[in-house]
Amino acid sequence: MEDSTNTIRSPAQAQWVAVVAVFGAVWGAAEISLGAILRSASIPMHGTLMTGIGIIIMLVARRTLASSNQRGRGACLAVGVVAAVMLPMSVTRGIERAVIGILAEAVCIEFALWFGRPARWRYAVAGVLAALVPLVQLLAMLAVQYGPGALSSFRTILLDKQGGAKLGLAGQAAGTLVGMVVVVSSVYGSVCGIFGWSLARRILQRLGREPE
Amino acid sequence: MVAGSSNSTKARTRARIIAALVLGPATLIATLMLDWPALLVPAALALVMLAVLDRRQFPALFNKWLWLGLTIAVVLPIWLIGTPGETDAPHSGGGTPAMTAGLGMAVRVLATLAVMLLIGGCIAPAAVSRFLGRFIGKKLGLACAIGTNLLPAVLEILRRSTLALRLRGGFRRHRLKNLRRLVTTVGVQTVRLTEDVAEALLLAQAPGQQAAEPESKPEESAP
Repeated sequence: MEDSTNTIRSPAQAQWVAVVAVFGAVWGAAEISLGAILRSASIPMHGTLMTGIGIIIMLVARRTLASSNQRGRGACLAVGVVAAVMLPMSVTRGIERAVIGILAEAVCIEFALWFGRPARWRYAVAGVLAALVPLVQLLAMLAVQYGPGALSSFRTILLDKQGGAKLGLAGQAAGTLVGMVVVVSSVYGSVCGIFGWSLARRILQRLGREPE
Repeated sequence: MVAGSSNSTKARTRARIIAALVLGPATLIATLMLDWPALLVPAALALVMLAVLDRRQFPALFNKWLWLGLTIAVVLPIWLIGTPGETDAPHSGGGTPAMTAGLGMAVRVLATLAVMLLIGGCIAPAAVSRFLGRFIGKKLGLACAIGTNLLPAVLEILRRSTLALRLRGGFRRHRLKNLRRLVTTVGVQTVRLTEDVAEALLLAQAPGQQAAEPESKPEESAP
């Protein structure tokens, strides 16, 4: 513990490190256990499912810190970094994508909560942003793996009236399907954000603390 | 008695080290080569060794509900539907090869969990903190080191909360309400754990004060 004596200089810093470590461990444990099973079984949209858990954990950590006279800035990003560092313990395939996804979700939530005071709607917006990360990441991975040509083909399939025929779908069914996935992901993200807000309030009330 | 307990501790430590050395590479190789179920034999043997020698240290790994969940969520679907098309030799569902693939996936998941518990429980926080501190800052490096060591504590919180809920009737009635209770309880325990960790960090901050206490005791007891 020699390092902690040099690093921790005040109770506030100790609390910040503790909250980040514990909530990062919770998210890391969820990713290593449940996430590994979902990834191994190739369950569709497993990334979005795990994102919901991550959103709730990050937002509860943020509000826990905010309730103790700290603004909690940077906490969500730090929780994501701790979870990402723990992920290589899970020896399943596709870890690198999961690590990138976790960090991107943490950045999105941190960005949404950086400005202004914490509020329920702000948490919902943060949830929506984070829930859209797996979809954006899918497009980005397509571009990285197959070059920009893959993106233009994707755009053709979505926007052209005959594009859906390439996938065996009529008209613009492909675009409608993708739109529905975006809407469902957004709703899921906002629900997780609001649940994170109310869960943090319940936890703080149970502990006798006043939620901000 | 003391010698016996130290011997058993040594045997457990040895079992952990050997299991970690076998499980890690075996699982990694078996994960990279999905179409060779025989590669999972070392991982399965290491799991059996853990079960025989060190079962009490890994209650999460030998939980009947985990095994039931793996059977329902992993083995049965792969056996019925077949293996994913991304593997080199996809099998259609219903046959012996599909069953072998499903069992292989379950062993892989168990081995992954075992590696996580083995590594998570025996990493030196100071070493990890020093190493990561160079890249991501001292505070975040320390948080990563502590977080990695807290994995067993986090799983223990989940186990205790589930047990408490089961003692109060479990999920037989009011499932949604009970699930909300479980999540809240886990959250409360987690926040309490953060308070304990913060207190431990503050205690470690002032080693001079701690060192002064034992020195004063012999003086008091002296005639």
